[in-house]
Amino acid sequence: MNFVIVLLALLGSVWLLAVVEGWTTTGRLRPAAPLLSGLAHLGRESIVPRTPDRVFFETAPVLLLIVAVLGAAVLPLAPTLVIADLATGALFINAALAYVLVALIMAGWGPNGAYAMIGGWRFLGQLIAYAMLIVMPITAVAMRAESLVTTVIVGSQDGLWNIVYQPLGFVLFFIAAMALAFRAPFDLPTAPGELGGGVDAEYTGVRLGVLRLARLTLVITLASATTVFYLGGWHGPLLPPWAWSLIKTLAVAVSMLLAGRYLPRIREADLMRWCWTLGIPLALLNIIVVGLLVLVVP
Amino acid sequence: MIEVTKDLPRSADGLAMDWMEVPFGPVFPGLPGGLKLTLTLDGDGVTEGQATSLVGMINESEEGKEIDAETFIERLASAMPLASVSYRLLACLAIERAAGLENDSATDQARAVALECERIASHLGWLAQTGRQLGFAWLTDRAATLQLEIRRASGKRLLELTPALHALAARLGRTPLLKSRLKGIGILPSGTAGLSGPVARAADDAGDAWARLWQRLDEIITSLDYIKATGEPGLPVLRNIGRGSGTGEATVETPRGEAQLSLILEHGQVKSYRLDTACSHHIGLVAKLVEGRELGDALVAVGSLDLSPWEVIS
Repeated sequence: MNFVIVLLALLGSVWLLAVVEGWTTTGRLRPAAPLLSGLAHLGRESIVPRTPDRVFFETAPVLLLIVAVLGAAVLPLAPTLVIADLATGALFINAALAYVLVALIMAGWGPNGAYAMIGGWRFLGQLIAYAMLIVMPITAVAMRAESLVTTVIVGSQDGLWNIVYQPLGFVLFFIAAMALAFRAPFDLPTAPGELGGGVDAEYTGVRLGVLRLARLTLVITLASATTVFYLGGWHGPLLPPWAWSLIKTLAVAVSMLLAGRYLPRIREADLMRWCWTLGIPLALLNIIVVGLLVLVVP
Repeated sequence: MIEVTKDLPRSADGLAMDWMEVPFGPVFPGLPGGLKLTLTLDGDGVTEGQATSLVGMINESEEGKEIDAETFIERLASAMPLASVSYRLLACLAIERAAGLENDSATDQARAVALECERIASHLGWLAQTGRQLGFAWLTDRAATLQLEIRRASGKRLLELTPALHALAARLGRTPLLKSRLKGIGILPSGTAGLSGPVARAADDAGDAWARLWQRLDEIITSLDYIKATGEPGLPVLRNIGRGSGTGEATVETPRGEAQLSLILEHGQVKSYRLDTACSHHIGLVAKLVEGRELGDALVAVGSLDLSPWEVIS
């Protein structure tokens, strides 16, 4: 039952995010647009490039979607509303999201096209930049909760959310999550102005539909992870717990969407340099500060 | 492994890689339509590249085929859709000089205002294109909206848009990541041959894409000040030349640099002409700008030249 509810919540959030995305892009609020767009993808010709690696080409969009849903499986909407409340939940989400790279490399390699291939390899560089900034802030979150169980992590924020307890960790995780979701300004693998769509470039029809659905699901999963790790999860007054989880998740997802509109795409070399020379030392500092707080403050 | 890579070309770091020749354009989101950029890629680094225009004009008229002066002006203006007012003015000036007409200050003033309006609109169009290339959606939307308003605006409305244009420039100065994206990219020192227009003027500063952005923003403000001090724009229209004959030359500072036209007029008909534009020279700089750069930087460098493929004369 939990599986169905979480899946429906995920789908509903993806739909809302797609509506907001359309609103910010076209200036028109059209609630039916995502559905119509999805149907249009189904009706369009699904072109296969001339000499693809067929297995990679076909598997990549589906794999990306599975990875995004798997990540969401350990993120609770309410104390008992979680698909799998694993003892290693915070670790599991890292493991699941590592396959985003695999999916993008496959999507880049599969079509046997230059734009897609460069996009795929670009994401490998991007992973080297952001990966530590996903893992290290989560480490600090787990330190405070003294657990990797995601429901315990939310429980540990009962009195004080982690965004206040460890704001530096929140900022680093939020930026790294945007890079993981390859949203602007970290859209190096797709970069329409540089690669004509990159890893998306050779996909059409239903395959492109799945790829777009997967990208939006990934954003929702990462926004949900931000909510669970830093925004107190289901905690909040008046409304039922699941409602707070959804509101916070959508707020984070929309802010990820909007932040990209107001910034130019980052250079890959700059991303790498700033992540390693600034981001990782700051993430270490965050761990030290949280460690001291955990020791000093009961 | 050695057998697999032994005949492959070597990168600058000594690695043997498959090099790919990849076309960008003539229809590509980050470049103006009609411009074809062919880059040889070593991974995502550019080893060499060249740009060609697929829509540029061919210089000089066909032998023995004379064109009516009015038709010539229309043809030249419609052949340059990104700067039609500038080339209309260029053709009018050259024909009027060939016909021996004296300058008329009121006409010249209205024409100059029209030219400055086009300069503002053109620079805004470039900003929108740059926003598209950089994935900077806000810039694309804002610059494109202002460009449309400028194109439709009268003199009074133009002045009302002044605060919005100042705000755009101020906002770009405050935008994080923009400077690091453009600074040090596509450097053209001031001594480089063939530079003209904003590209040449930016070369006196740092000569990179960041300097070219600010040069164009400065020109927008300067053009607005000129319009404020001068008056209403007037689209260049050919004055009565009768059946005049002679040789005429004119130079106009178009939004992309200096354009020169020399022509021979016989009984009100253009017998032959020769056109020289800034873009014809700037396109030759592409190879030097992209070599050894990362792909994204190479495209930014090419974009910062504001090449109009229609203005590349072959």
